[in-house]
Amino acid sequence: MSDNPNVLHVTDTDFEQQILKSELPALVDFWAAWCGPCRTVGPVVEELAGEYAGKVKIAKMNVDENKFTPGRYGIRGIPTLILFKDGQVVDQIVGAVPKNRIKDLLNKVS
Amino acid sequence: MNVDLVILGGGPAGLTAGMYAARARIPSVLIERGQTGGQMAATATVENYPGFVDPVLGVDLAQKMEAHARKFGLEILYTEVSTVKKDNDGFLIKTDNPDVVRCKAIILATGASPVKMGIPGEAELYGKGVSYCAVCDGPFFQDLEVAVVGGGDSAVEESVYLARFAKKVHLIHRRDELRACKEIQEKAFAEEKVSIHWSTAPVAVPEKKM
Repeated sequence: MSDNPNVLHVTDTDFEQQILKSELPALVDFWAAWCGPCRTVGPVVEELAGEYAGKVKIAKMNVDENKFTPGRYGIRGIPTLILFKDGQVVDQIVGAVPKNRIKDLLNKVS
Repeated sequence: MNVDLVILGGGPAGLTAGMYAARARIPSVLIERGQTGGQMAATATVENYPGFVDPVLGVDLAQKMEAHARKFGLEILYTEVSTVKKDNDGFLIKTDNPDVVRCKAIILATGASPVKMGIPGEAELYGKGVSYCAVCDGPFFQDLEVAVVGGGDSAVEESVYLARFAKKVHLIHRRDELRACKEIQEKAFAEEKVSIHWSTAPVAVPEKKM
């Protein structure tokens, strides 16, 4: 895992504070080490974190270590990217998609 | 960008073509829109690739293939192709990147993707219970009953894989015999948790709150 300073690693414990109560809109990449497509999306999300710094908070959550939040949002497939704004789900993407589709998602709030 | 050869697709076929092109010193670039390894990267273990006597993880073999091609200098672009046009004696390829790629020849190694059932509820519940990657999503179904649709290698192999997590696996197949290779069939028949529903086809995926 990279130590990209623009990417926040969130857990069940700090999800509420970091994402739902975030001033900025937030994108969360739900991933796990066992998931091939997650290895594709991960680096793309990290690239976007640089491009959208200051506009959208970019975060990742490991679904292996955090069960509660994925359950709360009905996630049964990864990678899943969920865009939050003011504590609400704006939209989501399931599966590995090209970078431009993720940008389209982010552009809904930035 | 100007090259002689563009390879579209970074699965095993594309990476192999790329490795040969790089070794032949043909100026080339491989374009992949998702992950290298293609469908293989979403496979738990690969047991039938010659030389790999012990099962190898699909994603690991994909990384090895990519590293092998890169070792000889293959360049890989991670972007999606939007158009391919004939241009004089070559082709003009547009992608999500601003740069266009000009080339003399193209190798199409675009592979395959899972067949959709095309029934109500399937698209709506993708990622919420409908999955095309047992390796990615199997752990979400710990101690639950799951259904796998199909009778080929992928369906039968994934049924056996899902038996590690699920309470029960229903394999739903429209014919009265499986198309999967015998070796995989034997594993499914031997797995107590896998129950096969012959000559049966799903008609809808209704949402049910767990």
